[in-house]
Amino acid sequence: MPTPSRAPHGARLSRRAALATVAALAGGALVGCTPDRKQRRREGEPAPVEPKVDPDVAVAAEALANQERMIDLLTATGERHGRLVELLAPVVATHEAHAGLLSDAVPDEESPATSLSSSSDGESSAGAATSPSPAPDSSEDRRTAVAGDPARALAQVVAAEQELTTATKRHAFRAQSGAFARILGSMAAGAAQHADVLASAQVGKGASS
Amino acid sequence: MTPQEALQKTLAGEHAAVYLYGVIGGRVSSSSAAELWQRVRDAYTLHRGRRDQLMAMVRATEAEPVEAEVSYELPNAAGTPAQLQRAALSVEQRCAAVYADMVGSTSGANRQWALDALEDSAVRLLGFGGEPEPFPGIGEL
Repeated sequence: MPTPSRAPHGARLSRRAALATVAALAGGALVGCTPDRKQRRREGEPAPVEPKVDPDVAVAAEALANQERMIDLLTATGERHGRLVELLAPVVATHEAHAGLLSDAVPDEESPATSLSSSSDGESSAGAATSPSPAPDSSEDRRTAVAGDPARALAQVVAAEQELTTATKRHAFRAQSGAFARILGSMAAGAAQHADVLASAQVGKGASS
Repeated sequence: MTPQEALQKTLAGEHAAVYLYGVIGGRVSSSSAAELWQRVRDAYTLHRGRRDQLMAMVRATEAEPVEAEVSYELPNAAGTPAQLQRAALSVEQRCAAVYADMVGSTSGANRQWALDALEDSAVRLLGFGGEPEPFPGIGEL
């Protein structure tokens, strides 16, 4: 039977190929002097305004920043409410896997700390605006930003996962590489799964450590 | 895979899902396994709607939608409630993989459709006993 999982040969990536797809974004990050560009310069034509980085690298940098903010929130929540650590452990593992994959796609000069603050296009700003709330700077600040009631703290995490799902789907929509869009779409689905599981988790009062 | 091929492949998957959920639903007791019965029924209704949407999306590309096969093989014996739940989980996991592939092979409104379907499928399979995973729909990661 033509089960949904049986894709035509070559339609799906091996793990190595998937990782290579992401790494290739970094490899092609800087828009160099292409033959066409060199030709134009020799002919004295004004060079068109071009982005300094591959658009998908900018997408990856934004997505990575969102993942790191999510990890910060999860870490701070676990620090404030020790009993939530076990519940949040698989969530942290998922986002660390996402961040690890995305960091391979982002060259150092496009690290989240610089890419979002220097972003000037509207889409990037919109993406940043819908991402999980920026975490405070210090560890202590992050911890105090977490609600004192564990149920409310968990609700904060659920809301952040839902926002991250939406933001990552937007990144997948924008991605020019189909293979990269597939990975981002899957990441969004993974965040949605955790939001669903955490939303139905029962947490009693007094879970603070 | 061209965008049109991606639509056809997803439609083929929906044909299978509609058939299999129909069979599974017919074997789940609405009294002794009411929650599973409701989940399967909801999934059947949803995938039937998606199948119809995809047929329209394929026709919009001026192609003829692929037809359903006469029958499809169940993932397991699908006799006991546990087997039926695992069968439903398997169907939904396969759908998630198809949607993920469609995300990678389409753009614009069709990609958005696939993104929404992938998210829904990833959450829906939790109701059939699935566990969260870092990369739903992408088996190789």
